[in-house]
Amino acid sequence: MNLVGQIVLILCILGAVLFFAKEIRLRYRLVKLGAKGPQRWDRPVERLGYAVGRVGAQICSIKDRPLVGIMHAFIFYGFIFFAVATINHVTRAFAPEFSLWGHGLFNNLWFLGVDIIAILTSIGAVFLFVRRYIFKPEPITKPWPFSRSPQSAIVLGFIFGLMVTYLLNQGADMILTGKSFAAWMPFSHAASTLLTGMSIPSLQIWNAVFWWAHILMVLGFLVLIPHSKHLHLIAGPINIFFRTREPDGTLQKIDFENTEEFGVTNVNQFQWKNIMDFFSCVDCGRCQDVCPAYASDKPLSPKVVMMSMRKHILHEADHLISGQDVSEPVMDKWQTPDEIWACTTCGACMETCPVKNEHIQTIIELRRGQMMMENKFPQELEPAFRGLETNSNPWNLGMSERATWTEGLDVPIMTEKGEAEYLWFVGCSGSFDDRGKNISHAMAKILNAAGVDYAILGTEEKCCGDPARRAGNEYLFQMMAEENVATFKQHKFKKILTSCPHCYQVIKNEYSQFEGEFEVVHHTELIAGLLDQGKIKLSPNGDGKMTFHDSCYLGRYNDIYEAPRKIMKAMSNGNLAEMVHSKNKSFCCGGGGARMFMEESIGTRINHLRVEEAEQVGAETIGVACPFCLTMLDDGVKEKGIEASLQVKDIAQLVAEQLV
Amino acid sequence: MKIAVCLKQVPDTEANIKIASDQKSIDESAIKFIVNPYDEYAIEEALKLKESQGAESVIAITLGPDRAKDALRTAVAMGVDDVVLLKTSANSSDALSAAKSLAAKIKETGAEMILLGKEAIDDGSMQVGPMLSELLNIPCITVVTKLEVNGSSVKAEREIEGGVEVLQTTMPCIITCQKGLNEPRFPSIRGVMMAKKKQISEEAVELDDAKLAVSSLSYPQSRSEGKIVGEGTEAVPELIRLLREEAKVI
Ligand code: SF4
Ligand code: SF4
Repeated sequence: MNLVGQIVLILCILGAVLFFAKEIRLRYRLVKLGAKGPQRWDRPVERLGYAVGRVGAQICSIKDRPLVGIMHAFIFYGFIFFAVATINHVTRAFAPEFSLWGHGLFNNLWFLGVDIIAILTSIGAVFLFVRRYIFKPEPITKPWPFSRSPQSAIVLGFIFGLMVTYLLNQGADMILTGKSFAAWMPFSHAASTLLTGMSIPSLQIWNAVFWWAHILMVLGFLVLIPHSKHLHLIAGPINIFFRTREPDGTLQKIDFENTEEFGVTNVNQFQWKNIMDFFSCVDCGRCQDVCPAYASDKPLSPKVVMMSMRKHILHEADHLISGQDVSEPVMDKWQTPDEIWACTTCGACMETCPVKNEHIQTIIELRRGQMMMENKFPQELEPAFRGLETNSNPWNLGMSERATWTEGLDVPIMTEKGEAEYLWFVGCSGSFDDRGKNISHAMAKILNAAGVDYAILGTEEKCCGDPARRAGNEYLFQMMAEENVATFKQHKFKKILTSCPHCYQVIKNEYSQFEGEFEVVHHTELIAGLLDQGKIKLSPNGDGKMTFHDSCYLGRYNDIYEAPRKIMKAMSNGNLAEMVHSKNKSFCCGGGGARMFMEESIGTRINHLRVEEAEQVGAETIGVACPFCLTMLDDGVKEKGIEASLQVKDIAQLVAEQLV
Repeated sequence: MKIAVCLKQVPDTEANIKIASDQKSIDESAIKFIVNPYDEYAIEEALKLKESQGAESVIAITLGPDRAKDALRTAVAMGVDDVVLLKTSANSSDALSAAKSLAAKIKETGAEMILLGKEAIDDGSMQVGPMLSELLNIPCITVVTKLEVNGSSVKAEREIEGGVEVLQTTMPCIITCQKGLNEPRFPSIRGVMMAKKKQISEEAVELDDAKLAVSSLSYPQSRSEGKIVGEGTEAVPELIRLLREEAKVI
C-alpha cells in the first residue's frame, strides 16, 4: 500500500479506537459513580471460571433458545477469530507477506478455520436478520420504541459484510498472487471463482475495495459497540463475572444507621452493579418472554426496565460526571408506578437472562425509593403495613390470636415444651388465613403421626417480614427480622421448619444479614424425608391426574424441585403431569413480591393464566407448596367456576388426607 | 396560628382485652397500643390546616403513662411539630380532671384551633371536647365530618340524624373529629425514623381531684351461637315461629 493509504489507515484506526475508548471510559465512570454495594471480588477464580465457561461455551445464549443460541454462537466464534484475523488484515497494509502464525502448517490450519467460521458467521447473521426483521418475534420487537431500532440491522449487515469482503479479498488475492490455497481456504477459493475473467488492473482495484471495505466495517463496528446493545460484547462477560452468588432474588440490606437515602429515586443512587446490568442488557427479551406481569398485560417488562434505565443514565451522564444533581427523578418519566408495582419478584427474568442481570434488585430499589423516600405506594398496602406494625401480620388481626388455630389440636408451644428438634415457624397465612390454616392443620396431623419432635412459637411469632421487604418497606422488614432473630435465639432447637416458601427464603437466606444463621427446612423436604424413612405411609385414593405448581421462592429461589415431586408421585399413583411451565421455568401464581396484598386491576389475571395451564394437562388436582400459591390458584379456579373439576391443595393437605 | 391536637393512646382495636385481677382495669401485658383512630383524623386535619393555612406549628398533647410516648411518636412521624406528654402516675377515668390538665396546657401553647377525636375508643365517654370548651370558654363543634377554615372564620359540617348540620364560628374553637373528615396519612418511613430519635418533653400531672372512679369491669355477655333450623322452604314456618316466639323480633 502506498504511503497515503497507510496514513489514512492509521488515522482511521486511531480515530475509531479513540472514540471507542472515550465512550467506554464514560460508561466505566458511570458505573464507578454508582452507589457502593457489595464489591463481588470474592472467589475470583470460581467467578472467572464460571464466566469463561458460560460465555466460551455460549451456554448463556443457547440454554433457553437453542437454535438462536447456536446462530449466536457462530457469530461469537466468528468475532473471536476475526479479532485475531484483523491483525493479519491490517499488517498486510505494511508487510504484505506477514502472517501472525508464520507460514507453516498451523498457519494453513488457521486459515482453514477462519474460512469455515466466515461461512458459519454469515449464516448466523442472515438467520438473525431474517428472524428479527421478517419474523419479528415479540420479545425482540416489542414494545416499541425500545426495540426494532435499526442498529441491529446495521450491525448484522456489518457482520455479514465483513465475512463477504474477507472471502472476496482473499479470493482476489489468490488470483493476483497466483498462490492457490484451495485446499486450505475452500470458501475463499470459491469466492475467487466469482472474480475470474476480470482484468488484472480492475481486479487490483476490487481487491483494494474489498480490503478497505473490510477494515472500515471493522472500525465502524468498533464505533457502534458502546452506543448500542452490542456493548454486551464487553459488559456481558464482565457482568457474568460479577453475578450474585446468593440465591436469585435475595435482597440486599439497607444500613439505616449510615445512610440518609433509602432505595432509589434518582438514577445516580443505583449501585454500581445495577448500572452494570443496564449496560449489559442485550435487548434479547428473554426476560420479557417469561415475565408473568408482561404475559398478563401489565405495563412491566423487565427488559424495558433495563433499557430505560440505560437510556436514562446516559441522558444524565453530563450531570453525573460533573458532579451535579440529576435533572429529573426516575419516576414517573423513565419508570411508572404501575410498572414497578406489577413485579411479583418471581425471578423468572433473572433465571433466564444471558448476562445475569438482577432485575429484582433494581425494581425493589425503585420501590424502596418510592415507599421510604416519597411515601408513595399502592394504597392497598397501607393496611398490610399497619397490620405488620401493630399486630405483626399483614391482615392486622389480633396478635394474641396467632395460635388459636391450634385449638383442639395437639400442637406444642416452644415456651412450654422447652426444647425441640424442629421449631415450626407457622407463618402469618398458616396462623390467620382460613386456607392457610388448613395447611397448618394438615401439617400438625402429619408431624404428630410421624412423631416429629417439634414446637411452635405461638404468640411469640411475628411475620417473617417478606411482604414488607418486597414492598420496599425495608425499615419495617428489619424490625420484624430483628425481633424474630432475637426470639429464635432464646429457644433451643436444631432446625426451623416452614410451610411457606417466603418464610423459608427470608429466614434461610436473608436473616443472616441480621446475625441469624439458621438451618431451615421446608415442609415438602421434611415430608419427603418422612416418606423415605417410612415414618408415614400413604394410601393413594382416587386416580385423578395431578400436577404440581412450583412456588417461585421454593423452586427458582432455592432449587427445591425434587422433594415435592417425590411426594406428588407417591400420592398420584404416578399419574402426575407437568405443566408447560415447570421447575425453573415455572410460572408465578401472582402472589409474590407483596402482590398478594395489592389489587390486580390491570390486564388479565396471572392466576388465571396458570390455572389454564393446569387445565391444559387435564389435571384434577393442583398440588402447591405455598400458602400464597394456594390462595391465588384457588381463587383462580373459583373465579373461572371450575372448582368441581379442579381442586387446589397444598401438598401437606393432600398428604394428610392419604395418611394411613 | 397555632394548632393543638389532643390525642389518647388506646388498646389496638384487635387486641384481646383481659380484665386485670383488680377487676377495675385491664391487663396491659399482652396489649399493643395505638393512637385512638378518631384522634388520627384530628392529626390529619391539623396537618392539612397547617399546609393550607400556613399555620405556625402543630403541637400534639397527650395525657397518659410513659407508654403514651409511642402515640406521640406516631404523631411526629405523621408530621406534627411538637409534642408533649402530660404524664400521669395512675390510670384515670375521670374526664374532667383530664380535661383540666389538657386545658391548662392548651392555654400555655396559645393554640387557636384545638382538634381532637370525637371520642376515645377505649372508654368512649365523648366528654373531653365539650369540657375543654367550657374550661377554655371557647366554642366547640362536635362530631365534625367537614371543616373549612378561612382566616379566623370556621365552617363545620356535622352529621345529625337524617341530615347534615352546618355550623359557623370563629377561632379560637374546638373541633371534635368524626370518621369521614379525611384520610389520615400513613407516616413516612423518614418520619418514623425521625420520630424515633425525637426527644419527647414530659410534664408530670396529678389528677387528684378526680371525682369519678371505676368500681368494676366485666365482660359482655357472650353471644349465643347461631342456629340452623333447616333448609329450603320447609324451614320457613319454624324460622318464623322462632323469630316470633323466642327472639321476639317480629
Ligand atoms: S435483561 Fe437480560 S434477558 Fe432481559 S433483555 Fe436484557 S439481556 Fe435479555
Ligand atoms: S421478577 Fe418476575 S414479575 Fe418481576 S420482572 Fe422478573 S419476571 Fe417479571
